[in-house]
Amino acid sequence: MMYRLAPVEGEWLDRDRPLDFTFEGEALRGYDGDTLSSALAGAGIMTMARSFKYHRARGLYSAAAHDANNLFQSGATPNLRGDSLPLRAGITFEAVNTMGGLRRDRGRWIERLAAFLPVGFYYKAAIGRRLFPRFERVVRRLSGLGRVQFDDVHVATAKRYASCDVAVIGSGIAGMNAALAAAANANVTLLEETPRLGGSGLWARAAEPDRCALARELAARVLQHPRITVITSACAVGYYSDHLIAVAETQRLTKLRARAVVIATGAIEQPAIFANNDLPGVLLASAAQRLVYRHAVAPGRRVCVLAGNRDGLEAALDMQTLGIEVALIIDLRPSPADDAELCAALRRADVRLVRDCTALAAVADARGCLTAIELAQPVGRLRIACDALLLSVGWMPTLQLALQAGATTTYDLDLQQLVPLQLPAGLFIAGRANGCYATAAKALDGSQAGSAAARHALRIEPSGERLADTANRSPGARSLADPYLIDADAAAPSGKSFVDLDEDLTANDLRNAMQEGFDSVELLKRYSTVGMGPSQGKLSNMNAARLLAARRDRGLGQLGLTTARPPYQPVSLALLAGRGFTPERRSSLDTLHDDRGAVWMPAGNWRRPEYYRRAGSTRAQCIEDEVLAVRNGVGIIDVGTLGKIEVRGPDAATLLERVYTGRYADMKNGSTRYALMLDDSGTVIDDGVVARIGAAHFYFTTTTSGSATVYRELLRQVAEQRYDCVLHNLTGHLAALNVAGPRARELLQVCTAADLTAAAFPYLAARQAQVLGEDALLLRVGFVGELGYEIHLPHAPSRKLWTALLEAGASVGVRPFGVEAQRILRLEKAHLIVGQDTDGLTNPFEANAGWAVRMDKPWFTGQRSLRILQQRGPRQQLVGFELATPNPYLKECHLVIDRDAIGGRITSIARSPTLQRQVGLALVSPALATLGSTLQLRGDDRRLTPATVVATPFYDPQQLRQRMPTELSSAA
Amino acid sequence: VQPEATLCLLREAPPARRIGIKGKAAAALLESRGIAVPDRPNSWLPCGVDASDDGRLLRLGFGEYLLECDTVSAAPTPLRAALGAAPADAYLLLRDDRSFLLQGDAAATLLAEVCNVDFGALDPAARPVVLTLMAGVAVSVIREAAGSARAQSGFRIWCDPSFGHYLWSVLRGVVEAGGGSVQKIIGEHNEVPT
Repeated sequence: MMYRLAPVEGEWLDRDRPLDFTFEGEALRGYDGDTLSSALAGAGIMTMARSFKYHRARGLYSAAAHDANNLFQSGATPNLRGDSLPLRAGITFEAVNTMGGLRRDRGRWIERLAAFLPVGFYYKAAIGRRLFPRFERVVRRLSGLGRVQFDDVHVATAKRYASCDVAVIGSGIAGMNAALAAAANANVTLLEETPRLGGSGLWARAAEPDRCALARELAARVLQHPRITVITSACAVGYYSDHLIAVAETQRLTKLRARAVVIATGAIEQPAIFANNDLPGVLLASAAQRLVYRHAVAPGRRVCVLAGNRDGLEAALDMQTLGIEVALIIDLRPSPADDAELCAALRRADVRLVRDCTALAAVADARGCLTAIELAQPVGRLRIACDALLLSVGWMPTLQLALQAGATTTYDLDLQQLVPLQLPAGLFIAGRANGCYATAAKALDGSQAGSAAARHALRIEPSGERLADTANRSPGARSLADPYLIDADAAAPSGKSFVDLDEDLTANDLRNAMQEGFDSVELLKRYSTVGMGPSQGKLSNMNAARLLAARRDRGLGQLGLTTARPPYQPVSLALLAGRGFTPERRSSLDTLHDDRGAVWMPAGNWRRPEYYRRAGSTRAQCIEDEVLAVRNGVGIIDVGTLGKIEVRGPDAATLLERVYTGRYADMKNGSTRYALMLDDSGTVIDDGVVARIGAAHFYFTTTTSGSATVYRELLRQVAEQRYDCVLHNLTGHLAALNVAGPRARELLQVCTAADLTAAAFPYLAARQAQVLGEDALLLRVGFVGELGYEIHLPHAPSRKLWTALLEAGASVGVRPFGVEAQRILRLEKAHLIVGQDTDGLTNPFEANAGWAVRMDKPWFTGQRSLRILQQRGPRQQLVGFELATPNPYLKECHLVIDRDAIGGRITSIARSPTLQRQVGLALVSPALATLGSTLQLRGDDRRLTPATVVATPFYDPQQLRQRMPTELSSAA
Repeated sequence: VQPEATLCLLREAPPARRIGIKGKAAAALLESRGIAVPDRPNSWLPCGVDASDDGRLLRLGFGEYLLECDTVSAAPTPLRAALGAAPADAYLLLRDDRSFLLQGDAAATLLAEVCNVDFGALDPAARPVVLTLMAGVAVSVIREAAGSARAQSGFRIWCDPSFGHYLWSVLRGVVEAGGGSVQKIIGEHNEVPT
């Protein structure tokens, strides 16, 4: 049973600050400096969790968040990592994935069904089966870890950017030496996952006391160094191109950009595979060392150590030094070469050691915790009573970040572990991650890597892609990973031998998967899910690879690795989400719309009034009233969201001729013309209106969502063609209003002394005039099919004008109208909305906009493609349709069905308040585009509704309404 | 070890006279009015069109400038009028940008939460103009040191006015979360809600 030790020199605890907490309803006490896991262990709690699949009892295992055993739920927060989360006063938490609590978990019965839950179970039993939906619900209810509470308060965590010359990841002896060496010339950021610097130097002490002193001395120097920024409790979870590192801190995510990076992340201790190797009480030796030196918690009262290397013996000495009884060291090696001095120290301490021996099984007591181990010796079986078994059988270098950066690895037979082989430019690896185990070797490796990183960062000696530095590696000198695969399934068939604790995968599961043909690392991973749990294979990938290598009789270096992807450690979604940065544009009239009851909708990245709410009216009634107000009286709409661009200079007309399909060089001053923009393939990408202000001065509009793209394209054209003109994007700087309806002139005249008569200001003219005493540009255009004026003016007067128009027009029933009414009004006129009535392939001929294309111009963007497309004929055609019988289930994007095949899609559809019927536009195959033909439209109700193709515009086909009576008579 | 957030002031810059000048003759126009022109793109110089002005001229490209003068008198000279008739190849342009001033020791640290430029490393003496994205919005940023009696040290940030409300909200959130204070001065048409 675990228990709290008397104060240990250098412990992280503040014994003067006891902290009360509650776990699974039980009131407990820990100390400031504890993690959730160490506090539980210190309170004698052995069973801390239930496993993912079989709900087996699990306890503390790595004490470094390298396993997923210790995940907890606290209130609405799921999956707190107990190994790393600091204990705080009053916290209440419980184990995840239990049914009825940790002790009485009803999910335990699932293990009895283990024989029916083989590897690949989902593939075999579920996919394609009739009962799958029901089965899926059961599985989803039973599986999973923490509970997500969707109604919980959203906490906006911060994200930030940071930069440095050299980033050093890991603050062990190698990392701190690297930081100090780099800081001689460069600015360094040192990242450490735990709250304190020192790495393994702080918790592997007894055999080499000088190492701890060295770690402390280095930490003090690092913390005082003016060029080193230290960030503790910060885990580098992702490595992206150009040395961008994602750093998960407690409350924020940092995007750290470095010129060079030193990875000194050490190595992860690996478990052994034997029966019941997951019992509470079985833990990694490094976990026990972390517990005793950081948190003063003994892993048990009588411990055994399973050792495959010198580190196991050191761990035993650490335990013995702190007064913890070491019952037995089980050394897997027949005759280690370099441990004589250590063995002598253990003998002096009366620690018994047996060699050439293997653990067969862990034995559980009534609570499901470790009570003994069974061993296989050359002379026979042996059972030893103990309440803790420390595993130290090998290491895997922490190279996940290096692999994400593009490094390659090879398997070193001397070290029996993976080591870096090829490194990308600017990446350096030092310490145990680079295969250096001796203290002096780690220090030297770190210093050399730090100096090289600084030289690279400061361009003193930039390095390209290169081989990893091997000079300081120390094969045979220290902790070798054990080359034996400890797998006693056959000898002790009664218990499960776990390879992946996250996913409850046993050695037999993996063997069965290989037997079924999934015998490459990638296939084995996908089929068995090994390494796919929260700890991403930190404790399982190596052993799975060893099992695979044994089966295929290959070396580990020949098998390859699965792809390492971010994140290296689990990251909370809150950290990833951070603050929401979704830019939203607002027009200068925004607050005035609110005053009028605007209901908002997104339009591109703008927010625009969809319609204006009126008491006692439904949405549909409000929109219909707005439409009828424009048709019968006058309405005003904020069109400030339109793209507004000014072009000035001798080549202004030439530029427009190049980017738009029409002719603009021959425009008279004070006139406007429709403008259609294509891409190189002849596809319609934008449209607007061009106004000529002067000989070398044009002002034009674009679609709301297209302004930035169009502006960029024009800038590109000016630069490429070396045109003598300047562009200015006025989209956000100018406001614009559209006054439309039969009484538009009458209303606008109240605000301006300009001559608005048909003679002075005819249809499609542009005039500069004073409106409410301010300079404005007036365009007579008719997008909604009525007499209309667009007024473009600066922001401040636009607000005055909006208010003045509504006040002056109150007597004639003026109404502000929103985007929905505008869409219906233009649909009645069959006016095109680019992007809605066109798609990524529509050319102007298909969109009935061929009239706006001047193919006889020398050149415009898309012209060559259009010539080819003209010869090929249309792929689709935009047509107008109307329904004899309305169907409210029909919406935009619903399909046109042609003899059981897709014949097109609806692009616009609405009930026309003016025409009192449902009308729409559709892109259909040419065969369906004949006037009078019937389209079969399939809506949300799944039934086919007939519609008739009719001529457009639906409303005012003679185009009389945009003009004033005097204009019509003169035209006649 | 990490820097503490200290008091920051975030507010809209005082209502300013502001104008854009573009074209091959833009520099000549400015110089003819006695305004010193920065010698390289993406840099700025303090200037004014009146003796009492406290302003700045930003060079945003080879032939593109932003001139801004703080209002210091009751009847400031409109910049368009002060610059007079533009010659051919120099165009005076409407600039109704929203502008913010972020001050305090932690200003650069807080900006790191919304932009990947290391503003702390900017050398005020070199007077760089940073054109970048801040919280997804295109901005121009300068670091102004306390020079004359009226100039305030800090980062001046300009953005398209239609993004003003959004950027204000983001910056305000960052500053307040960092323990700073927010002060705003609303111009005649600077719509910044509470």
